[in-house]
Amino acid sequence: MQKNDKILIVKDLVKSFPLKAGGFSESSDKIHALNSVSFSLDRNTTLGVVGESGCGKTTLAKTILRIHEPDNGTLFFDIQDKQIEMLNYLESEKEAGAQAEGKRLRKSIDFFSYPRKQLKKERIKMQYIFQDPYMSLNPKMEIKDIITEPLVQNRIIKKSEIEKKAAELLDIVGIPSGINGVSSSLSKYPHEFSGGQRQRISIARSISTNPKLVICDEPVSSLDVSIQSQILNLLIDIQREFNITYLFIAHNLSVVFYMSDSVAVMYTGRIVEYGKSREIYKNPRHPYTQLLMSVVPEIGKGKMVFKQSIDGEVPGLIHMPSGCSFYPRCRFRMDICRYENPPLEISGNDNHTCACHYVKKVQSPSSS
Amino acid sequence: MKGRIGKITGSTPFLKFKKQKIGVISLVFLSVMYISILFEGFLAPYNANTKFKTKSYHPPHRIHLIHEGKLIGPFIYEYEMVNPYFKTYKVNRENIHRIKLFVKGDPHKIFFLFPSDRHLFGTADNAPYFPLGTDRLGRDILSRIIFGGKISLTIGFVSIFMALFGGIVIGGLSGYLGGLTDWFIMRCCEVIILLPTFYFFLFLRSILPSDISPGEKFFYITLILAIPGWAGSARGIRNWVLSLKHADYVTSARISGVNPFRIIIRHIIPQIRNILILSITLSIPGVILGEAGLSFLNLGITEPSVSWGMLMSSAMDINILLQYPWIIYPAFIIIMTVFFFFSLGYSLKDAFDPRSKV
Amino acid sequence: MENELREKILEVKNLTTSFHLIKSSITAVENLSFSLYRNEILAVVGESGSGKSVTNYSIMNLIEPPGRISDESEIIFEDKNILKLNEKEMSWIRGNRISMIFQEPSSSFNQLFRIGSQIGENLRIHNKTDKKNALKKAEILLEKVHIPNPSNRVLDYPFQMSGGMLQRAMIAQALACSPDILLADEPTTALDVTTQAQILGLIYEKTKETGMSVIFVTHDLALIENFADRIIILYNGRIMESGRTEEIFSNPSHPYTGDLLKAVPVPGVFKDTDRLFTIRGKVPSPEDKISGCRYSPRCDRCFERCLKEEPELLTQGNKQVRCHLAEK
Repeated sequence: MQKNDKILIVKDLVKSFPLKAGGFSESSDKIHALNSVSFSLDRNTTLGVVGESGCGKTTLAKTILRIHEPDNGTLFFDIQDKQIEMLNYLESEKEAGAQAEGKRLRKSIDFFSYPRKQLKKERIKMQYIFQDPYMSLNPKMEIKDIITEPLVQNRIIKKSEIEKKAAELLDIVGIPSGINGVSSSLSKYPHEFSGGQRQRISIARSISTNPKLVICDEPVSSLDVSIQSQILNLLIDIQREFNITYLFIAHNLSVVFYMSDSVAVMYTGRIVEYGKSREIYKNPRHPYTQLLMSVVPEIGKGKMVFKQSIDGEVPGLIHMPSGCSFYPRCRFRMDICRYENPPLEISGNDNHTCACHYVKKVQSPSSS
Repeated sequence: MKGRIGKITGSTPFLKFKKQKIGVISLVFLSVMYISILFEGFLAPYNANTKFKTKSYHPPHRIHLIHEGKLIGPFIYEYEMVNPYFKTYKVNRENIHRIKLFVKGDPHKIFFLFPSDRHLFGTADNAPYFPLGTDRLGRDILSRIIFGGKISLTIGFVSIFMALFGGIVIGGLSGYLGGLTDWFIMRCCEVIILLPTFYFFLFLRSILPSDISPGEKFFYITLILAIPGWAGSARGIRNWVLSLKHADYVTSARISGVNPFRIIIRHIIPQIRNILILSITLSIPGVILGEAGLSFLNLGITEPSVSWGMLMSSAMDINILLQYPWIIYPAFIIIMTVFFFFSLGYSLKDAFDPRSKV
Repeated sequence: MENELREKILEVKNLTTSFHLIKSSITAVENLSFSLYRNEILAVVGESGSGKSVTNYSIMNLIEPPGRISDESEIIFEDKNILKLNEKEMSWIRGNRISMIFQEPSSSFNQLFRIGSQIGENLRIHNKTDKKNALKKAEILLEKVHIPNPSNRVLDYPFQMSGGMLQRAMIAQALACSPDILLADEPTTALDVTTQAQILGLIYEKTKETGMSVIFVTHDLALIENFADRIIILYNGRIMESGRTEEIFSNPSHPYTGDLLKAVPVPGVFKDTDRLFTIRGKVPSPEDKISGCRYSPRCDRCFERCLKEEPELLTQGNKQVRCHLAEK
C-alpha cells in the first residue's frame, strides 16, 4: 500500500432539507445541513468528526452513504488518482467530445453519480455503525441472520453457510458463539444481549462484507462508561486486522482525539478546523475548537471553566448568515466576520487548516 | 418468538392473555364455531334445505325426561297441526319420540370429503325433531344456523385477508416510496373511507349482474366487503411503515443492498404483527355485520345458499315475528359471534400492550 | 471531622427499594445509607441499573407499584421520616422544600401551556400567590437563570425554546419556592457539551447563592470532578465508595472506581501510543444474582473471599469503601 493513498475524497458537498408544509405546497425555506464540505481521508486511518448536535456530522455520514441524496458535490471512493486527474482534464477541456467523455467517466467514478446498480455494488464496501445498539438491530431477527444479511442478500455466501460465517464473525468481535451448544448465541434475539454485546454484534455485521470504509456514528456514547473502552479497543483491533478506514463521529473530544489520526471540527454544516489529531489537541486554532476543548468535561483536566462568554447557542440552519456562523458567539469577532464567510485555509504544520479571519490575521504578519 | 420475556413486566403477551378469562372463553367459543363448520352436516339434524311441507312454522320441541311418572330418558312429544292457515300446533301427549345419538338421516359430507348419513342426534324413529323450530317452508332453523355459519364466518376472514393483503401491498409501498405516490394513494384511501360504508356496499352490489352462480356471488360479496377495509388498513400500515422506515436497522439494511420488498417483509411487517392481528380481530365483526345487513335486505347471499343475515330476513315482518318468535334465533348467534370477536380483540390488545398491567 | 460540624439536612437510612413482578422481584437499591449536608453538591455516580435514579425517586417518595420501599427504610428530613408522611403532606414538601429536575426537559413541561404559567404554578400552589404576581415572579426567575429577554420568554410555549433554554426554565421552576434540596437526575445528558457547561455552571452558581443542597445523579465521572463536593459511587444497587471528590479522584480505594477512572480516555492520549484500560464483562442488571462482592466477576484484584462473602461498607475517616482489600 502506498503512503498518502486517499480512499475517500469529498468535494463541495452540499445538502439541504426542504421544510415541508405538506401536500403540494412547499415552503421555500430550507435547512442548510451541509454547506460545501470538502475533505479527504487516507487509507487505513481514522478521521474524527466532532461538533455539537445540529452541526451536520450525522448528515455528512448519511450523505456519504447516499442514504440522503446530496444536492451538490463529488465523492471519489476507492478511485485511483490517475482517473481523477483524467476526469479533471476532460472536464476542463472545452471541446464537446471531451466534455461528453468526461460525463461518461464521471458516471463511473463519482460515487454521487453512480447509477442504482453500481451504487448497490459499491456501497457494500462502506458500512455504518449506529449510535444506539438497541435501535440498530431488528428485534425480530435472529443474530445469525442479522449479521449475515448483507452477505446473503448480495449473494456473497449461500444460505447454508450462514451459521459458519456468523460464528466466525462473532468470534472476531469477542462474543462466544457456542455453535454446538444449547445456548448458542447464533439463534438468540437481540434483546437477550446487553448494550455492549449488541454494539459488538452491530460491529460484526458491519465488517461482514469486508468493507474498506466504516462510518462510526457515536458508537460508544449510548454505552455505559465501563463498557466504552472495550468497544473502542475492539474497533482499533479490527481496523488493524482488516485494514479498515474509519470515519469516526463523536461529540466527546477525548474519545475523538484518542481514536483519530486526523480530526475535523464541524459547526453549522461547515468544517471549521481540520488537522492531525495531535496537532489540533496541542494547538487548537479556531475559537470554536478552543471553546469545545474548554467545556468538555475530562478527568484530570483541572479546573473546568463554568462561566465563559458562551452565551448564545448554535444558530438555526434555516437562514444562514452571510458571514461566519460562529460570529454571534465568538470572543474574537471582527467586523469582517459579519459579512464574509472565512474559507478553510492552511494555518499550521502538516495540513492543519482553519476557517477563521482572526486566526489568519494573527498569523499573517509572522508567516509572510 | 421463543423465549421472549417482557423485560419490564416479566410477562409475555401469551401469559397476559391467559389471565383474561373473557378473552379465553371467546377464543374457545370462536374456535368451536369455526371447527364446527367442518362437521356442519354431522352436527345439524337436517340439511339446510330439507323441507317439511306440513311442518311450516313448527315451534321448537321441548325435551322431556319423565313420561306418565316414569323416567325414560330424553324424548319429545309430537306436535299436531291445529290450524293449517294460522300454523298453530298443539302437543300430542300420546306420541313420544326418544332422542338418540348418531342416528341416520340426510346424507352429507364430513370435512366436505367423506360421505356419511349419520347425525349427532335425532329421534330414534326418524320422526321430525326441531330444537329451534322451523321457518315458513318447514325447514329446521338450527340446521340452517349451522349451515349458515359456513358463509357468515368465512366471509369475515376471507374479506379481511383480502383487505389486509391489499392494505399491506398498497400501504407498504405508499409509505416506503413516499412523495407524490404516497400523497395520491392516501387521498384515494381517504375518499373511500369517507364514503358511508353500507350505502357503498349497496351501490357496489347494485352493479353486479343478477344471474351469477352462488359461488361467484360469494366471491363478489367478499370482495365488496373487503374494499372499505382495504383503504383503512392501507392507511394504518402506511403510517407504521413511515415511522419504521427510518429505524436504524432499516437504514442499515438499505445500505447493505437489501431490496425494498424484503425490507418491508422482513424488517417492517414483523414489528407490526401484533397490531395486524389486533386489527383483524376487531374488523371481522364489522364484515359479518355487513354481510348480515346485505343479506337481510336480500342483496347478499340468496337461496339456496344460507347465511345468518339471510335467515334474519324472514324475521322482517313484526306480525310474523310476534306469532312465531323462534325465527329470531339466528340474530342471537350473530350477536354472540360479534361479541366474542370484540372481547377477544380487546383481550389481545391488553395482552400486546407492554404498558398494561394485566 | 469537618462533616460533623456541618448541618445534616437529609439522612437516608437503610433505603431498600425493590420491584415486585409477576415471576420475580428485583432489588434496585439495597441498604443505602448516606447523609446530605447543607449547601453541598453530592454526586451519585453509577452506570445503568445501578439504582441511581431509583434513589432520587425514593427520596421524593415517587415509587409506584410494582415498586416498593421497604418498611425499614428511613429518609429523615427535618426530623421527620418522609416515607411515613401521607400524600398531602408529601406533596407539600415536593416542589416546595425538595425540587427535582430531569434529563429530558421537553417532556417535563406541558406542551400546551406557556412557560411562565407553568413556572408560576408552583408559587400559586405553595405560596398562594395570585396569577399576576406569579407571572412576575416567573419573569424574575427566568432572569436569574440567565435567559435573555425574560419578559417575552415567559409567554413562550415549550416548543419555542431550545433544549438548553428549557433546561434553564426547568431549573427556574425548581428554584421557584427556594427549596432546601434540589434533586437533579442526569440534567445535562440530553444536552450539547457547550450547553452542558452552562447548565452545570448555573446549578453551581445557584447552590452557592441560595444555600441549598444538591443531589446530582449522573453516569459521567468526568462531569463532576470540579463540580461536586462529595461523591457516592453506586454499583448494582450498592454503595461501593463514597467520600470527598478530590480524594476519590486522586486516591480511589475501590477497584471499581479506579478501573472506571482508568478506562476513560483522557486528553492527550492517542491510540498509537497508549492502549485503553478495559473493564471486562458487562454491567450487571439488577436482576442478576451475584454472590459475594458485586464487582467480583469483573474485578482484576478479586480473590477467593470476594466470591463468597460480600464486604461491609467500611468507614475510614472521611471515606467509605466496600472492599475486602480495604480492610487490611
